[in-house]
Amino acid sequence: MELNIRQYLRLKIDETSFLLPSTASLAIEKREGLSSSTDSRLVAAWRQTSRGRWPAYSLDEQLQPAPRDRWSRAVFLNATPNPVGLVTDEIQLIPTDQLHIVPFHPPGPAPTTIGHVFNAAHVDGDDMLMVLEPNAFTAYLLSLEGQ
Amino acid sequence: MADTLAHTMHALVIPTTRVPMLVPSAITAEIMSVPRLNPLPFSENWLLGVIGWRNRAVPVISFENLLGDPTPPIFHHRSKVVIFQPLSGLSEWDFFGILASADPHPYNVNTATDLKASSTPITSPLVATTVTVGRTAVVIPDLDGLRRALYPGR
Repeated sequence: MELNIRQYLRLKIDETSFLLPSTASLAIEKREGLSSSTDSRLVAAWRQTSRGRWPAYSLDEQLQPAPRDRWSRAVFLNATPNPVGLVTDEIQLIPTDQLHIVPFHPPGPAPTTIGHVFNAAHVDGDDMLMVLEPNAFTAYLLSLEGQ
Repeated sequence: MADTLAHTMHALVIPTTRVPMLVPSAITAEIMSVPRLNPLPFSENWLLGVIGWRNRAVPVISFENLLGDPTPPIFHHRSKVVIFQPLSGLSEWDFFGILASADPHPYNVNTATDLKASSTPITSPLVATTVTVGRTAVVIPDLDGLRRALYPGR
């Protein structure tokens, strides 16, 4: 777990939110700035760049691919061969000092070859937000490209 | 007196829907009512969710589902979560919980006298042995097997 994270992005998907270290974000785009997708079932939108287009995937609360109409922004993570993104209802920047981040190892087999997609959690009483591990989450998004 | 103490182990019988568990009290940390279970994406059917406990994120599992029973556990007002200490070799924050169908009850094990092998043993890498407590068959979990199942590769 990276220790010098100063801010997290709170990514809201339906009634659930996840935290992503802000350092993992390559770009955040409003929906209006993205091209709608018609050629992929899983891609909600594309970000057009001079070096090609970056897909932004639509996932549900369980982070499974699912088409969703209600989203406002996409966050992109750096990846090879191209950055990949996730569309969200809302993105909020939260300073670390407003969170209580603790390490967390999800039980069970990891869903990606790099490992589990969570490596920490914000815990406040019964309230909890899982923290995405950027490398594993990026690997998961990349794994969707072939589907 | 000292001889008696040396041969007594304080244990807990943890009732579950399928077959109770018998564990040393020393490996448990707390027994609590079932708090809000936060779902965890990508989890197996035996992981019921994650709870906030003492400012930690603690996964709660169904031992029956981990044994292979596909039936989802039934939650009711008597259900409890037994918080376990981190298993050997894991990080100090790796507490985990097991769902109990009712309050666990204490049981003092006097070695070589109280525990008899069950005539209907459960065969699983997660089970060290099946014994009888009174007339009830209970499983003693294999903690190394449990660690390997919960945290493969660690």
